Parts: sequence; structure tokens; C-alpha cells
Amino acid sequence: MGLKNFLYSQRWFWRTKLYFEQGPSFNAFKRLYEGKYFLKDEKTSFLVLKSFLKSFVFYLLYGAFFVAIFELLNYVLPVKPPFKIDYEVARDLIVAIVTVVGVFLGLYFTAVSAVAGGLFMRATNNLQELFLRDWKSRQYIRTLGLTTVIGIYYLGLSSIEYKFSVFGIFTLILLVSYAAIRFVVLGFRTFYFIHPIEASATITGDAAYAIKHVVAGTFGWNKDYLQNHNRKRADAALQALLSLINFGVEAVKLTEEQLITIARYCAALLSFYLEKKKHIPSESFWFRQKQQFQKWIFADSNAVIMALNTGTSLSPKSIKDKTWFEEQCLDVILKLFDYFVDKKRWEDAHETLEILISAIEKIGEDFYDDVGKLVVIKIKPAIARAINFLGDPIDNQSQKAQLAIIDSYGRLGIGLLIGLLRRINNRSQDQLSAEINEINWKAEISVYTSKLPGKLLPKLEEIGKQYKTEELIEGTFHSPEWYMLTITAQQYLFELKIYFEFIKSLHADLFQKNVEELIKAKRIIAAAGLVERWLEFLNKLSFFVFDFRKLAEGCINLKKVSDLPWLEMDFAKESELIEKWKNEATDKLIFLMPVLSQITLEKSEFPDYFGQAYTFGVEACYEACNNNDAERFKRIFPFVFQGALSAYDSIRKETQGWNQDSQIIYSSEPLEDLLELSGYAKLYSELYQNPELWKVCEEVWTSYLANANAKNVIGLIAATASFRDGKFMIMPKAILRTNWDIKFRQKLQELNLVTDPSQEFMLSRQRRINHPSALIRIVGKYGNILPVESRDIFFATYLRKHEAAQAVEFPDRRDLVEQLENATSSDNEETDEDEV
Amino acid sequence: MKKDNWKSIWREKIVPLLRDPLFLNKWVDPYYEREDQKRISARLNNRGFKWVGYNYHGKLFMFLEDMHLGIMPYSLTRSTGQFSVNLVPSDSQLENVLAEALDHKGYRHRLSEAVCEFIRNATYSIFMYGQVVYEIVYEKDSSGNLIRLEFLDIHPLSIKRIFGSYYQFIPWWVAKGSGVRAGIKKIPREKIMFIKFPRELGGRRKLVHILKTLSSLDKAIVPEFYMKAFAGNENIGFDFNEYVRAKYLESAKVTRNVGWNQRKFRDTEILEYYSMYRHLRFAFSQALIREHLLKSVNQVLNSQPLNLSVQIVIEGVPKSSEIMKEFNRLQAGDLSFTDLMKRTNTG
Repeated sequence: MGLKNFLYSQRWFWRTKLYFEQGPSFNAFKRLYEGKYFLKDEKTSFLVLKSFLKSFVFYLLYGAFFVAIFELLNYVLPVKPPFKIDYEVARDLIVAIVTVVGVFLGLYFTAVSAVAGGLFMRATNNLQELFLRDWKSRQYIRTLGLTTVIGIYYLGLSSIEYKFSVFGIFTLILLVSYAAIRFVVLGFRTFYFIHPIEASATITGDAAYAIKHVVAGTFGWNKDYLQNHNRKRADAALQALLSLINFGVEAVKLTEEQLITIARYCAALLSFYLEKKKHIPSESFWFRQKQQFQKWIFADSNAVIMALNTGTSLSPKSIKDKTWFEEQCLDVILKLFDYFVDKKRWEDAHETLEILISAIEKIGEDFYDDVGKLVVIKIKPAIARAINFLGDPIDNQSQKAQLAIIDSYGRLGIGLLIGLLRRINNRSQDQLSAEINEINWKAEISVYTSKLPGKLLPKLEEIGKQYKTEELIEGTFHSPEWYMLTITAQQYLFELKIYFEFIKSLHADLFQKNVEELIKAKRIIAAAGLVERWLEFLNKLSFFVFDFRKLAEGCINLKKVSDLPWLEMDFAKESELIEKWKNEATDKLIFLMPVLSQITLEKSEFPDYFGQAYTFGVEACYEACNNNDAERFKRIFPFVFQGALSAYDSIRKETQGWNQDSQIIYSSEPLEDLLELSGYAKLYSELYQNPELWKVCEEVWTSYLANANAKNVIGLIAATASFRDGKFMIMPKAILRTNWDIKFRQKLQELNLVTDPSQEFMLSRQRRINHPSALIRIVGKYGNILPVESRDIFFATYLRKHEAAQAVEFPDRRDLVEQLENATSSDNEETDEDEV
Repeated sequence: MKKDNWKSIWREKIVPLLRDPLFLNKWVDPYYEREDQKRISARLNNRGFKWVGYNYHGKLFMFLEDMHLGIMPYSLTRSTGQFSVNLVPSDSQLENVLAEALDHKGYRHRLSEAVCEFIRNATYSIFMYGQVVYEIVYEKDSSGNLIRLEFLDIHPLSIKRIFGSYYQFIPWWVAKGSGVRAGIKKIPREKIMFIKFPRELGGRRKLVHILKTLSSLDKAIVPEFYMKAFAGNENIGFDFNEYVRAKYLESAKVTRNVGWNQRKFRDTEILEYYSMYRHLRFAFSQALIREHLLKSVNQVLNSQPLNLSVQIVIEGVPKSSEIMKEFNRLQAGDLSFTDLMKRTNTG
């Protein structure tokens, strides 16, 4: 048996170890810790002195300047007073003046202190302790004490007629001057007695100090009692911050700006902690412990053996609460948010949320899905409360407030994603390998200084411990570098996937459900605002999937053990799913269009949600046709149709007073969108031989024309189209519609109806396309070039044939009607020949 | 009457004393069955011997079991289709004789089964004592053909080699335990098959160290002093997890040459790569023992007095040279751990 096992099997060893740890070791670390803390205090004191030295020197020079002026005047213009000065009396007089001034100063500041003292008595214990710890006051008192002691010494010496040196007198003069000037500054500082900046700085400084000392590699980082101590300090600091808010709100009536300062400090602390968290050992007592009962079947064999031998039940397992600190920081910030909501300080509430969001971006960078979930869970009720508190927004102001808060809520989801994007964006497996290879697995603290995401830390610790066990057994390391790289990359991808799943859950939990609730509660503007962020979120998510795929594919090279479990993900399916979600979000916005068109708001103060819904809707309709998605087209086209008509009316009103041409061109843009879209519906319907697509469009038009003055409407449409054709200019949204044209041609190419664009155009002008539709044969005849505008297709195939369009002249610049008739008649001839 | 008494004393006390003045036959069991008249050595049990392996504590017991049970395949007809044991050159009659010789239980008639059984038993013994000893008992017919062969167990702790000759020492306390005659028996060199624990695995001294360490490490699962402290609700700072881990580490350290995994089939203390490495060492040590035992048997068959000019050849189990190549594959990467296990498991 080795020495270690021999010792472990001896009772005296364990008792000695316990005694040593609880006695000498604990006391030594306690003294060292106190020493370090004292040094930190002295450093703070030195910084206070350093910051004050400038004003001290200024006062000193300023005083010297006055003395010099008087002495110089006396020298240049010597005045011989008609009386004789008794210097003994004069000295006494100066002493008396200084004393009286000092007394008055003292009285003045005593009065101020009395005011502050009243507040002090009302503060909670932790705040009183905080105020008593004010370094600037403590330093002053210490200086005063020192000066008094030195002065008494000198008085004592002078009483026995000892002739003391000039240095002592000089030091005493300096100290007295310092104390006097310091007293002035301190007096003014009394007004800052409970200033949130001062108090927050001290409190968060305390918490940050505690955090720094549980980070691996710092003094006593692996001692459980110091970890415990630092956790308690940080906990107390956060409790003090909560007390400060209560005190500031109830007793001192701090301004909103000052309260926001507290939120800023707390968010900065949270940010600092999220940065340091990955340097804290995951088994550290810094993390609170929760007791969890174990199941016999899954319990660790050691625990079972112990229970069997001692005849007891399984002892509960200690589970680390890894998010306690974040939770308390969130509580502080959300308390302020709730306060602002109660006071209807919507701008401040919004600012508080924004402060929080700026702090949480770090979460994604380190894959902390647990923290992310906590943030979402904590914020949701606060937002719901705020929205309920707002009531029905009746004016612009409350609409703006509601929108701002909802916008921040939406940004929360984006904030949780953005950190992740930042980490993964353009990251290659080489970069990942380099980060993993930087870890020195043989060193104790290397895993804590790694650049890898913090969520990986427990795994890295486990790998490191297992690796070091090899040396304990073999005296050397056997696992090669490639294996360490493989298993670390494996864990990296697993954790990345877990965070990705969490982010995906936000689609439903943060956006979809809330949008539905807002719509249900008829908070349409807020719903539109959240949809806007939802779409942004989904777009970013699709970028992420692209980057994730690139990284995951690259990481396959790092997998050197073929049967090792690896990341299993169907990225094509993920992309498809996100596209589906995007459609869902866009459709939600489109469905809001009729209500949005009715809402009248101060335009410049609100985003143009109707315009956005309409633009997205038109694009979505085209995409539905392009994807041959008749179901979606059927869902959204009626809304877009109505939206286009509303947009036409609204633009006509807004462009009143413009010159006539501009007025017609701008107001007819939505009509042009609608006509082009209808033309494409026909084209795609023919291309895919899917009559459902066209049927949706036709039904909407027929129904509309049946209920409206069809003759006037058709006349207006034809006239507007002719007017626009007559203008040789690029129309406002022509570029967007050109994209539709390009996409259609690409589709023709995809379906092998058009092959090489240059050849098609130059050489085969008379080519015949193998497609059953005469319309497709005509539009594809010139290969890459679409010979007619889709609007004209709509005219030729539908509107011209409407019974109310009999006397209406439609533009037909490419003789499409004639071409269609020719193509149809040749089709008929061919059919006859086939039949013969 | 007096005369009768004296006679009886003479007959019952004096004569036996004169016949066996050193009490060599004092412990002989009257019902002791001498299985073979040709056998020179005495069949002994463990009573009377003091040996580290007799303290059957958990880890030591598991170690001995694991080292011998998997060394040869079981279920020869089913899962191990490629496994075979052949006699080269082939001789069915001799094959039967050898099967009977190697099988101590007397019911296995196939050479392959007999060889498996022999190697398993010999491995147990070699790991238990660091050596295994057999007395070769044989009979030949008039034309010199071998008609009977037996490899009879000799207790490894009872045999000593002195100046090239083998002697079985049976002290009275051993004789008492086994019910045999005490004394020293000389066994001719050619009648002994003496196989030592291979030097490649550290030799007998190293093995004894392993046995002693494993035996001492697992005397108590939970130490008695802790149980007392627990009963008295006293905090002595005992850390059971640390205690168990320290024992695990020392066991792993002491058995590193043979790669024993302490029956941790998902060992969370070490990386999977290293557990594969240990598995290869385990497979390598088993292959070495297997080859070492087979080589010894073949040597006996082909030397005086048997001179059979045959070789027993085993196919379908991993060879030590093949396992050495697996070490290189493992080191290089781009492999499957499952395949590596399949290639190196005995079956």
C-alpha cells in the first residue's frame, strides 16, 4: 500500500488534517486575506490622497500667493503704522481667528451632518455600514488623529523646554494645512452622503473584488472557506444595492437619473461577472449549493456503499446553483424597471431595459443557455406587468412608451443571439483548433484561462482532471494531442447545439406567443413592433445557421475517432424551418395590415409599420408564387390586395400639392405592384401548371370588381398604366419589380426552359419552348429576355376580358394579345393534327 | 494381564514410533486416495500455506478472476467461428491423448476445449502464485507410442528447484492440512513442467507486489474508524470520495503493466483514449500469457521423454505481435474504438 492510502486509512491522519485545515491553515489564510484586504484599503486611501493632492497643492500655493502679495506690498510700499505692533498679541489674535473660523466651519458642517444623520438613522444596517466605510471621511479622521497626537507630543516637549527640530514643526504645519483644506472638501462631500454613484461604486466594487478573488490562480482560490466568504461578500453587496434602491426611492427621493445610474453600475457588474465566470472553477463554493435527493438506481456507487455501511438513506447530492449571481443582478435591475413602470416613467423604464440588454450580449458568446433562460423567464412577467399597467394606449405618448418597451423586449432575443453570432461568425475549425491547442492540459489553471466559451468549463475541467490522472497512474501522459483536440471540439459542438436549441426556443417563447397575445389584446402597434424584431431575429438566426454549418463541416476533420458521438444536425432542415418561421412572422405582419392602415399616428414619431407590412406582403406574395405555394398565396394575397388599395388612397392624400406627374406616379405605385403581382400569379400558374395560384388572384379581383364600380376602376387602371408607359423614366420601386423579373428568368433556367442566356438571345430568336402553356412559350421565346411586362399579361389574360372593360383601351406594347391568339390557334391546329 | 498391557503398548506406541521416528506419517489420511501409482508428487491443498492471494478481498478477487476468465474464448461453437486449436502435424489419436492430458476434469474430448480449459486454469495459477507446476505422467506401449499422458498439478508453493533438480517440500503443517506424508520428494527434471510468470510483464516479484497491494487496499470498504466516528456523530474530516479515489489510483498504478480496468466499464476517472490504451495492455498481457503457456506445453511435448514432434497451434485469438500494431494505430488516430475492441477481444 502506498503512503497516501496508508495515511488515508488512519484515523489520526484525518483528525490531524481536519485540525490543520480548521486551525493553522484557516487562520493563516485569514490573516493573509486580511492583510491583502488591508493593502487594498491602503491602496484606496492612497488613491484618495492622490486625487486630493492636486487641490491640496492648489490651496497651499493659493495661500502662499496671498502671503507673498502682502509681504511684497510691505516690501515695495513699506507702511509705517502710527502704532507699534505687539507680535505676541498678534500671534494670539491669529490663533483666535483660526479657531473661530474653525469653529464656524465645524458648526456649519455639523448642521449639514445632522441633516444627513437623520437619513443615516433611517438607512438599513447594510447601508449604514456602507456609509461608515466612506474612505474619504475615514482618511480625514485618521489624518486629524495623527496631527493631534503629533501636536500633543510637541506640546509635551515644549513644556519641558525642549528645542525641537524644524522638520517636526514643518510636518505639523503641513498636516494642519492638509486637515483644514481636507475639512472643507469633506464638508461639501456630506451632500454626497447617499449619492448613488458613490454608493453604487463602493458596493459594486466590493462585489467585483469578491469575484476577482474566486477566479482561478488568485490568492486562496481553491480554499472552500475563502470561496464561501467571497460569495457572502458578493451576496451582501447585491443585497445592499437592493437596499440602496429602497432607501433612495423611499427616504431620499433620488431622481430617476440617479436610479438609472444604479442600474448602470449593476449592469456593468453583471457584464464584468459574465466575463470572469469562465475563470471560476465550476465546483467552487462561490456557487450556491442546492440539495437534491438522489435515486438509488442512478446514485454513484460510493454513495450507495456509504449508505449501506452506515445504514442510512442516500445523502442528498449538492447541486451548484450556477446562476445565483446573475439572478440577483437581474432582480436589482428589474426592481428599478418595476419602479419606473409604477411611476409611469416609460422612457426611464425603457432605458433600464436597454441597459440590461447591453449587458446580456456576453451570454451568447459563452453559450450560457442557463443564464439566457433565466433572463427570459425573469423579464417576461416584468414586461407583461408593464404592458398591463400601460392600459389601452390612447395617445401618441403611451403608444410610444409601449412600443419602446416592446422593442426592447424584442431586442432581448436579438441580444441573446448576437453574442453567439459574434463568436461563430466566420470562425473556422483552424481557429477553434488553435484555441483548444492553447490549453496546457498539464497545468492546473490553464482550462480557466482558455478562450473557449464559459459553458464548456465543466467539461474542460473534467477532461483536464482525467488527463492528469494518467500522469498519476503512469508517470507520463498517454493521450495524444489529436485526441484532446477531438474530444474538446466534440464538447464545443455539443454545447453550441444546446445554445442553438435555446435560441430556437425564443421563436415561440419570446416572439410568437407574445405577438399573438398582443394581437389578442388589440395592441396592434406593439405587435407590429415585436414582429419587426422577430423578423430581424430570424434573419440573424439564418445567418447563424450558415456559419454554424460551415464550422460544423470543418470540424469533421477534427474527428479522429470515427465512432465517437458527434454533432448530428440536418442543417438543410434547420434552414428550411427558419424560412418557414420567417414566412410565419411575415404573414403575421401582413394580417395586421388592415388594422395598421386604420391607425392614425404622428408619422414622424412612429415607424411606418403599415408601409413595412405592405412592402413585405407584396414581396411575400411574389415569393409564394415563385415557390408555387398556393396555400400561402391564398392566405396573404387578399390582405395585400386591400393593403395596396389603402396605400393608393393614403399616398394620394399625402402627395396632395405635389406636381401632377409625381402625384400620379407615386400614388399609382401600389396599383402597379398589384397589377405586376397579378401578372406573375398568372405566369407562375402557367409555368407550374398550377391553376390554384391564378384562381386565388382571379377570385380576389372578380370579387373586388363586382363590389366596386368596375368600369371606373378598370378605366382608371388602364389610364394609369398608359400614363406610366408614356413616361421615359425609372419608376420609384422599379428596381424591386426588376428583381421579380430576374427571379422569374432564373426559374425558367432552373426548369431548363432557358439555357445559356447569351446564346438564347443572340442565336435562337425563333426557338420553340417545350411547355404546354402558350403564354410560357411566348415569354420564353426570346430566352433570357422577358418580352412583355407582367402587368400586360394580367391585362391580356384577365382584365381585358372583363365585361366592364369593353370600351377600355389597354396598353399592349408587344402585341401580346395577338401573340397569344396566334399561339392558341396553332395549339388548336396541332391538336387537330394529332387527332387525325 | 500385565503382559497384555505391555504388548498393547509395544504394538500401539513403540512400534509406530520405531517405524516413523520423525512422525512423517502422522498426518496421513487413511482414506487418502492415490490417484496414480506413477505420480511422485503429493497432491496438496492450500491448507498450511501462507500466501497473499488467499485473502480474498474484493479487488484481488476481481483481478484474479478477470485475468484468467477471458483469456480463452467460451462457447467455441457459436460466437468464435474463427477460433481453432490444431495439432500440427495432424494425428487424431494423439489429439485425443493430449485432450485428456490437458483437461483436468476429464469430460472434454476436443483438443480446443481442453486447451482452453488448461490455459484458463494455468493462467489463474500463474497469476495467483507467479508460477505453475505440473508433473508429467505418461505411458507408452511396447512400440514406443504414447498411450496415456497426464499433467498433474503440483502445488506451486511446495516445489523448489535446487541445483537443477526439483524437490517437493511437505512440512508437517502442510501434511496435516492435506492429509499426506510429510517429507521431501525429489522429482526428476524431465517429469516437471515448470512455468514462471513472464518477465515481459514484470516477473514474479512484480506480480507479488500487485497481489499484496490489491489485497491491502481492499481490506475494508469503509474504514472502521469512520464507522465508529459516524456512530458517535463525530466529525473527523473523513472524505470518502477522496479515500475511494486514492485507492482507485493506486490500484490502477500497480496494475498498469497488465492494464486491468478494475471492472470500470465506463471509467469516468480517465479519458476514453487512456482506457483504450489500458485495454490494449490487458489484451497484450493476456496474449503474452497465452503464448507463454502454449510455448511451454509445446516444449514439453517435443522434448525428452515425450519427443512427440507435434505442435499445438491456436488460431483466431489476437497475437501479441498484432496487439503491438494496435498500439501504433491507436497512437496515430483515425480509428474506431469499437473496431479496435473487436479486433483485440479474445471473444
